[in-house]
Amino acid sequence: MENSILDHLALGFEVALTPTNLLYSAVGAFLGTVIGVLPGVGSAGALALLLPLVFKLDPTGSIIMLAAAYTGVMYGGSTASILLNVPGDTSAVVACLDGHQMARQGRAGPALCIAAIGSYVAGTIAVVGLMILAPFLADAALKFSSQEYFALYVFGLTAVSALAGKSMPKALLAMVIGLMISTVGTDLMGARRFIFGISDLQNGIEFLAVPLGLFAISEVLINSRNIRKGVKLEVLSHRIFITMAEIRESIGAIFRGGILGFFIGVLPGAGAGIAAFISYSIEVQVSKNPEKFGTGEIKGVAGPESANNAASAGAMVPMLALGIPGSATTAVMLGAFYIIDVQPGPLLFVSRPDIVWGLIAALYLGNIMLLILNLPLVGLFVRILYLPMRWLLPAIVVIAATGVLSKNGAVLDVLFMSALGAMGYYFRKYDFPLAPIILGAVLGDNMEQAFRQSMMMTQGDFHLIFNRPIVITLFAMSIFSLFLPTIIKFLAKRDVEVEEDI
Amino acid sequence: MSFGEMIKRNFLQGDRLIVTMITAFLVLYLTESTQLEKTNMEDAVGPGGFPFVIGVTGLILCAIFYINVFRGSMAEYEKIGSLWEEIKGVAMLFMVIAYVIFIDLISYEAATFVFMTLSVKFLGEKRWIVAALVAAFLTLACYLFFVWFLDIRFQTGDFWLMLKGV
Repeated sequence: MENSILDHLALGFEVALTPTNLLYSAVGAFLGTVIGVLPGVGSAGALALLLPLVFKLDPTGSIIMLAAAYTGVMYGGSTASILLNVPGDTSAVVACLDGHQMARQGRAGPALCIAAIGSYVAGTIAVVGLMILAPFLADAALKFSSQEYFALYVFGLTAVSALAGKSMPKALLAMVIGLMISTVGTDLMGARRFIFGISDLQNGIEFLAVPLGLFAISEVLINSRNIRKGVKLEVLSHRIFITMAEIRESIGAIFRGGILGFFIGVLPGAGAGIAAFISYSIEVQVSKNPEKFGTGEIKGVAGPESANNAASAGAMVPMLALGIPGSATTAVMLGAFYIIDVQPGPLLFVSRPDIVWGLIAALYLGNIMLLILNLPLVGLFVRILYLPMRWLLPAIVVIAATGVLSKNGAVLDVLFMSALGAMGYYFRKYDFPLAPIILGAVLGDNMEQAFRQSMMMTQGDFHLIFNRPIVITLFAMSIFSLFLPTIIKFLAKRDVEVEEDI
Repeated sequence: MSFGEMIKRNFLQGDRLIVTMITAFLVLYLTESTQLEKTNMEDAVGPGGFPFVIGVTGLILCAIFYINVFRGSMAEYEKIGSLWEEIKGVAMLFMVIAYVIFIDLISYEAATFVFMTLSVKFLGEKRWIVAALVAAFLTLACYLFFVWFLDIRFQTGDFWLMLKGV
């Protein structure tokens, strides 16, 4: 078995390492990064934009370019989050929490470097997982019914305990607001909810408007108020390179994020955003200094960035092994396979090993390309922060508005973004954490869908949801995860009291 | 402390005012969720079930927040200032809203250029020409990337169409 995998991998690299395919990989990684930096387009949009090239290039080359672009977009999204607090998509939101704080402390370089290194290592872990576990995992993922998904989303919501900041009630309220946002629009049965007669709201609030408003616009409002008040904004000198100590500190988080991200990515519909949030939550819980998270902790960048990159490779598992796209991005990828007349599914590994193993090798090469292209670019990216704030702030508004506008062309979405910007401004002023709002908005829709499908399957009997072992395990993990911070605090307090008594 | 002062202190200042507004939203949300009708008889929960749970959970959380406020265990915050002070503080927001409205009116490119020029000047750029150059550069960059490269179509401006008599 192992020999056969190595033989196939050798074939894959033979295909991927030709000069032409290497060039496609480099072009894909570069275009993906550039598109990923700007909000709005996202990974599915980026691949859709590159899809026409599949008609023009040779089949293997085009698939290799799309795979490299996919990894590029996942990395690019975090760059704008770290530097400007402008998250390009859901999976990049978590990078705002500690990544942007690091940039504000003059550590933008190390934040970008660890994002690139984490993406590379996690991408490699995921590619190894894809090689060895693809057929088994694809079957296991299909055994996940709506009950298991519901339990998984509940587990995802417990990440709020890691995002709570100073006050748990405020964090939970913020999460409730996110869940409320997710229910606006038409539900899965076609019922219109909370649209108050506005027909543009039938499809719900455009998700991208939520993180961009809450993070980017509120950041602009806070800084513009400071400038108008005459507060001198300190221009920091930014360190470009990461130190060995910082890499050592992050390595555990990278491996944890990589493994977790891959397994979450395998589940159709779970997505890189959820992987990033859960990874962040786990990092806070295993840390000896959880209070440092949210203030520029490098592990808060390393873990989630690794998780979202690994999830993107994990999402390839059901697509390749079963022909089932687990996300919009893999659906576009599936489209590319159909264009070149290749039918993904269990037989693909046998009928077209050159394509499958070429793709696996291309994902690996894409990660290397990312590292080669992006580490030297860190210095260039960091220079953005030396621009005067009076130029940068309006530019952030324009980039955010353009990103939202490019989604549906609806001005109402941009108005929502502005309103959420005002909300974010006051929430930050009064210590309401913003990330739980995103968490609620990301999970709410899927969670409701899974819950209602489960209730239909059990004919309205809520107790029957708990009849399955994975569901029970996930719920137990949720309860444990929610109360773990309190238990740790209690134990730490008790230790201090015991020491004082002694 | 008079009743009015007590209400103001516990419900209408700083983070309390935000939670009061959230409570009002939640009541509206909960009311609306109870009025949603099922579109499918197989659907055991209905379209209002999940929102109802969210609404009730939210109101319980608001109640916990106020209990903490009354017990005095919530931190005191800087009060929300006078309306004029607040408007001055978020002046940039009004520019953003105007920008969004003007996108529909005078086209994406023109609105972006005007917004950038005015806001760069508003934020302290001394010379108009510098503000206009920065605005022109960013507008061109956005145009090249989104319109030319990604082929995304933005608003062309009702005002210009009106002038052309379309």
